[in-house]
Amino acid sequence: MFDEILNKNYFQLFGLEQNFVIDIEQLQNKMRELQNIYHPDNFANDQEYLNKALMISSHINHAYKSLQDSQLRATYLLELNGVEVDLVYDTKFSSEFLMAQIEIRERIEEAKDDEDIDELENLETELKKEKQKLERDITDLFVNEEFQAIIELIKQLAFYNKLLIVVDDSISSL
Amino acid sequence: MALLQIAEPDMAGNPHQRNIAIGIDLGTTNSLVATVKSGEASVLVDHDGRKLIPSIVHYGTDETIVGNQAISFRVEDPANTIVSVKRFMGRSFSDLDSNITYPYKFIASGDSIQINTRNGAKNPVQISADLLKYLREIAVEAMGEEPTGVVITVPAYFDDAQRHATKQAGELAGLNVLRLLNEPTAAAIAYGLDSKNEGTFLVYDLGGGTFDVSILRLTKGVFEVLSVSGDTHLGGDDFDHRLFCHILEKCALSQLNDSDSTLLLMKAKSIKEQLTLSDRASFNVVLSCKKIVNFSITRHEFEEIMLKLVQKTLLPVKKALRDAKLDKDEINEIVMVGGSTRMLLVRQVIREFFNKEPLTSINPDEVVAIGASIQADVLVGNKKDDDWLLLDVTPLSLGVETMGGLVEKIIPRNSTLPIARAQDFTTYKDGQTAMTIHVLQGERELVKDCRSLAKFTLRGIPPMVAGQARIRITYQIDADGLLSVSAKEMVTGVSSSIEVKPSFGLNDGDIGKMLQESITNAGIDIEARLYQEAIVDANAILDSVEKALFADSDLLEELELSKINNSCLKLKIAIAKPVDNYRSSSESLKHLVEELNHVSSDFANIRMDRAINKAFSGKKVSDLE
Repeated sequence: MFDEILNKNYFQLFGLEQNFVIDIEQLQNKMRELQNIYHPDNFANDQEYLNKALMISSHINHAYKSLQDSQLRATYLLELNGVEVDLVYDTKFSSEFLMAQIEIRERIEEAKDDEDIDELENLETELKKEKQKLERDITDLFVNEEFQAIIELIKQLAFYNKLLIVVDDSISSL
Repeated sequence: MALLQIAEPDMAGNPHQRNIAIGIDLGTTNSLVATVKSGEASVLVDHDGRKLIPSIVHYGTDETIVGNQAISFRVEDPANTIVSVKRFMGRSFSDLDSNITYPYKFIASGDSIQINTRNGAKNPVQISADLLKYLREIAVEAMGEEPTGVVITVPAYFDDAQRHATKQAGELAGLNVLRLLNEPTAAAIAYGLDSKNEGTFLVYDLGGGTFDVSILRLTKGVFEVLSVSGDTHLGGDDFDHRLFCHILEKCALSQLNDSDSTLLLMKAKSIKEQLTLSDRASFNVVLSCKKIVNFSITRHEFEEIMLKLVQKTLLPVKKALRDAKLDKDEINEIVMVGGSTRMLLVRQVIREFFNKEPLTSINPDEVVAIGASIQADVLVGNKKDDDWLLLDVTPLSLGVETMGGLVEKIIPRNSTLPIARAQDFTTYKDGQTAMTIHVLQGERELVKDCRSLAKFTLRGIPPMVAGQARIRITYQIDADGLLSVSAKEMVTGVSSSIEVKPSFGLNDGDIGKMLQESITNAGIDIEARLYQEAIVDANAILDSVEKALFADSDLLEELELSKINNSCLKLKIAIAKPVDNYRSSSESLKHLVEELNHVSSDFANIRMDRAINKAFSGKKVSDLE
């Protein structure tokens, strides 16, 4: 029963179709259902299964996180299609994209210096919109199985996720 | 102690017997023990009928005295009467705040703290165990038998070392510790199960010295912690101190001696407490210099003075909301925990912020112990049909040291537990056979700014070219938040693992400071990180150029050789130079690396030719295909 869980891919594990667009609610419900069975707290008095449960429960949490986040989900889906994404060493970007990134960074710095929370919140909204647009584009590209193009968009998505964290920290620090 | 023997093993065979589960709130100032009887959770009382058990352990000539009976020994025999031992849990000698004078005789023994008492040296785990033994006795007397299992609560921000120390203390006291539970989570359980509501809870836990916020969601029998946040330097003591300063100003007092200061601070605390019931409070005291102090204040005036401090608590609240990706109107219930939430102003500020009445029906001092007892009841298997599951998160990020004194984060904070993550690392020198794994906890980018949890060495890596070995490091954090780390060389299967049981840890203040610094220093961190990376790059190119010179310097003209040597020297000097400004140092390093690259590029080409000639010599073209 335990090994079966580890052998399933994450989509199968949560009873989802292997697709970039997923039903987040079903993902959550299934995660809770699985944790209700396998969480180590269910084996608090059962040394024999405790370690196994710890492993399975950790696996479920990781699988959940990997599908819940759009960047990780796209990366995992590419992996299932035999395409590797290397965010660390693949750092080629169009100069247009890089210029846009630098501009956003400068706006964040400026707003931070001016303690302009409204501007930071505007930036956050804009970034979220850009992110949603990227997610829509990724959805379309998966339909056409244009994997190389998806890699480029995942790299961009990673930029926006990072910027969203920077904006978030900036707002929190004011 | 004789009562302990009531629970004979043969009594356990009774089929109607329920497993006895207790929850313990092991507090800094007071501890409580609670249990669930016929479906109702209640706090148990000591001999004198008191629920709050002072966390005081007195080592007497004949016996160890704990709790209310030990209070008087604080004055009579302070050196043998340990108060608030929780502050020392999982901490090293060097962590002790040098600004605080303790009445104890500390013994420096390696990293761990030991206190010399008349019954010998005691470490914080042993002292906590004595406290826990007493709480166990209270439970045994009340229930008539030994508890089957125990849940002990810890602050959400307790790090790995502090959690380990707490669990060890439980085991040392002869308790079967089923789970460590975060205090705010326990409070949410107490209310969540009480109101039978599904929804999102925010726990606002304002104690004497610290402030914790947790956001949890209860859905379909699963309690999920979404985020934790806090300020470890904010609590009731700050309110007392603020009022104390106001009194000094109003009554034109200055340069008080210690006993007068203590007296006025106690008066300030008492005024604060009185104002939760009445609209005005006052006191008259005579100071040691015979000066008479008359002070009177209305609730309205008091609240004006305190407003800024109370509003400060909204910052961690907003941070927790952001981390959980929630708006404040998505919070269904606000749970108030900790004595300081009795202040009417605190409740008012929260009510206005959320536009909702906070939950206060369970005594804020007892709510944590009650939640712990309910969770213990589930874990021993008493609650079959009405079961629920708890998914907690890790409050601090975990990482490992990489080249250049940087921290590679492996498990980010607020990750759901249990969790295991693996990451591959490689050797950076030819023939490297050992690798030290340095485990760290914290949010900052540099090793020196994070808390070191453990260091261990993986030996027996087969000698390979730099970068060829593949070392997989796996971090496992269990449901209690306890960490174990293992490392394995994937090519040969050499492995090494430890359960991280450090003898020291972070104190609450450290954690708060680290979290705050990680936000304010984010900019400096990035520059520092870039600088460290530039250093790594510079060392790498120096290493390869020097190796090449050693092997093939005969290929170079004297002028070229001196150019390269000169460039190497400049780079070495730049690496060794102390840093004033990370950004300009990184830039000059980069510049010198480029220069070295430039002057050595011809050399690299000539070497390449020599290597190719060597490979081809004595071989026919057909051999090469």
